[in-house]
Amino acid sequence: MSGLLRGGSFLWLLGFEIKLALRGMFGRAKSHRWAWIALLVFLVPPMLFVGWLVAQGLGHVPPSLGAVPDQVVVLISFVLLALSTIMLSHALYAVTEIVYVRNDLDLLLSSPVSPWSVTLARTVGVAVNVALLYLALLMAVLVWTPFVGGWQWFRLLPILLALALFVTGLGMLIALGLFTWIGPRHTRLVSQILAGLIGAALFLGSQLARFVPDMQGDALLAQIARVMEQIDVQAWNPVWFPALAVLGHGYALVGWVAIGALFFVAAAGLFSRRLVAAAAASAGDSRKKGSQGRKLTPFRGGLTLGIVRKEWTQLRRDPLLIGQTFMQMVYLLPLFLPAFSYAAGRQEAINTSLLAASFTFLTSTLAGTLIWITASAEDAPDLVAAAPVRQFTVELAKLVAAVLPVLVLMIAPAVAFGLQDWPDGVLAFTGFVGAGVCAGLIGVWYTRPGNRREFRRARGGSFGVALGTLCNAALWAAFTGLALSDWRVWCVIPLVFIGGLMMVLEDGRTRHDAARVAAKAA
Amino acid sequence: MEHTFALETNGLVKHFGPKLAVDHLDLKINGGELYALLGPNGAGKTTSLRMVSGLIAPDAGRISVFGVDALADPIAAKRLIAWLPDEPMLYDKLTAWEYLEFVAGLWAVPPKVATERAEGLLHRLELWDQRHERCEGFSRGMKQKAVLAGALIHEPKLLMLDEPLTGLDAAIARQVKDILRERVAAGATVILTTHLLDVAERMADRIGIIQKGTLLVEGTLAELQSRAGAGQTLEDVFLSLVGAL
Repeated sequence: MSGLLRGGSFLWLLGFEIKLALRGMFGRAKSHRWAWIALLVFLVPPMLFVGWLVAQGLGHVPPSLGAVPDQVVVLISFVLLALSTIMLSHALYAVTEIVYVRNDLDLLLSSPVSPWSVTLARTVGVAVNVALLYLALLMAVLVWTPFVGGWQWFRLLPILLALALFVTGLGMLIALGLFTWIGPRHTRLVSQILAGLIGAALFLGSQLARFVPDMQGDALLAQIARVMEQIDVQAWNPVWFPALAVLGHGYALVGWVAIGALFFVAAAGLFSRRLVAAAAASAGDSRKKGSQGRKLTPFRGGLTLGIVRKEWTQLRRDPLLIGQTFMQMVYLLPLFLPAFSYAAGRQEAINTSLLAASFTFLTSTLAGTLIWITASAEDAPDLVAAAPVRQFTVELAKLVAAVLPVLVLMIAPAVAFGLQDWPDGVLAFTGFVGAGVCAGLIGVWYTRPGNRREFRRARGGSFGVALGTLCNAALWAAFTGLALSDWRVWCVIPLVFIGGLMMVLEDGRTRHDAARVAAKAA
Repeated sequence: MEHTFALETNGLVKHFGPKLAVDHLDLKINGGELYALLGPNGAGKTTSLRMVSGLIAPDAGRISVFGVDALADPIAAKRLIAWLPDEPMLYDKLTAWEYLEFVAGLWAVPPKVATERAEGLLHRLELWDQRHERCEGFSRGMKQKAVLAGALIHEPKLLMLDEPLTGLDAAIARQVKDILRERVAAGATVILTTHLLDVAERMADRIGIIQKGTLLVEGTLAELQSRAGAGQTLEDVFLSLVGAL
């Protein structure tokens, strides 16, 4: 083995980090081999095809562009800024995971490997992880460029890697700042919500154009063009180095790679000093202090209420989980776009029917998420299973705990619909209740042991159940949409389908239970 | 009158796929005794106790807890049992007090009675000062004590513990052992699995040694030693029976 790759060396550690990152991404490949094969068959060829089309276009660009208008540089810079925003969201999340989730720091830092190597390998691993998706997309283009005489486009690789390094460094500094400012206990929560908001803001921003009527949109574009014209691009200003590097300026490429790498190393150096303290503090900070004088409340009885209380207390005390749940909802907001777009096109009030359908879909999704937390991610399943209570009672309590908060949230839109026309309010709330309860039932019937700490990535389930859940949401949305439209009578049709769907899912539950028990026992 | 055992299993069988985990296990454990179930890793100790506590269904056999058929009426049997697995079953986001309230609710202990018991148990286990702290900040020993308090809050007649002393410091291990002895003195039955032979030696009224899902031998310490010959320790007996010598 060469010295560089010997056990405990930086490259060896980096290889380990990348292997873990890939396992995290493709770890389930064995259990879903056919799904992955299908994904590769259906995803890779289209990606390569699009890559080929893009490469064809790039083939027409001369190797040396010479002088280009400033607006082109500004436009490329904006594209790279948007890309780095998404990367920052990912990096910030990954950086906090290093401190709070991965529990191998004790092992690594107690080994005879320098702490600097450990931190550097880990943070470079984050940068590679951040760049991985974009590298894959870029490679789909670059594999074709030699055939169209475009070798020079390989310069995009170091530009992308430097961007990933720079952004990861920024993520480390933000995490450090939060750690110093608000302490270890809240850093994970705030940084992860911040990461979600950054990602969501860009996503919602990209959808904004759909809210804006055509005429206003044109005016907005003209305004943006005027602002871009006023920007003066200075070739020596490092701000423009990434864009100038894309355009083939050698000095900018070298400068940008150097800036990215140096910034990353400096940030990693600062981060390294605090990493050990951060990990130790985050592990020891969860104990609540100053509770000695708190009044002791006598126990309250009631099994169902007890379970509901327990679920709500756990949820209330886990702001990270709440944040992640609502962050998922942000990505569902485009569901509401058809209602607004329709209104914009027709110059009339927001379409009630589409809006109600969107709220129904949201209800089903939110209830599905909460039932996963209460039923599948039960922290002490053996305790509940060993208790002298009927399974039905436990399931009912968990259903109530998951669905009730969602329905409370949905009272406001139902009342708003009711104020327009009271039957609309009643029918909309009926749809919300149906969507929430059915999503809850599916979640209870098809529990799959999970861990709420891995909420973001470990909510796996069978494809059939996922499809059933989606169909349930869509069918209830169709029910509400039709019930609040001029074709009210047709809302019976989705109800019939829902009945059939639930019967099929209920029937499959016995087989799922048997398989779950066997798997758990094994 | 027919003698009623605290726990009686007849011909208990459990397969995991092709692997036979428990092979026609017959156990008869008297009320008010502390029974230690010993065996090498994978011998079927935990699986057997999980079947008794209703967490896994056996493939064949009968389980009776104080005369209640645990397979026909699992709810009635569960009312009499407390089960403590080797990994503490706790809720990180609940305080010790809230955890006990929840467990008391599961076993339908009247709130007033449960409140008094919880206060007593938290004092007894020296968790009173941490009663309002969330379990996520507890050490392993504190978690184990909180779970033990939860197991005792409904005053089970049969307490089953899987490796209860693993990972505990000497002081906490002593507390746990004292409490188990107190419960036995008060008439409860305790079954524990352990790898610590000296614990079984010192605490158990009777010891059963299990391997490959079958009970190889059981009896008091003296009976086991007399089988193996003069001057033999429990360790000698155990190792000779499980074939490690």
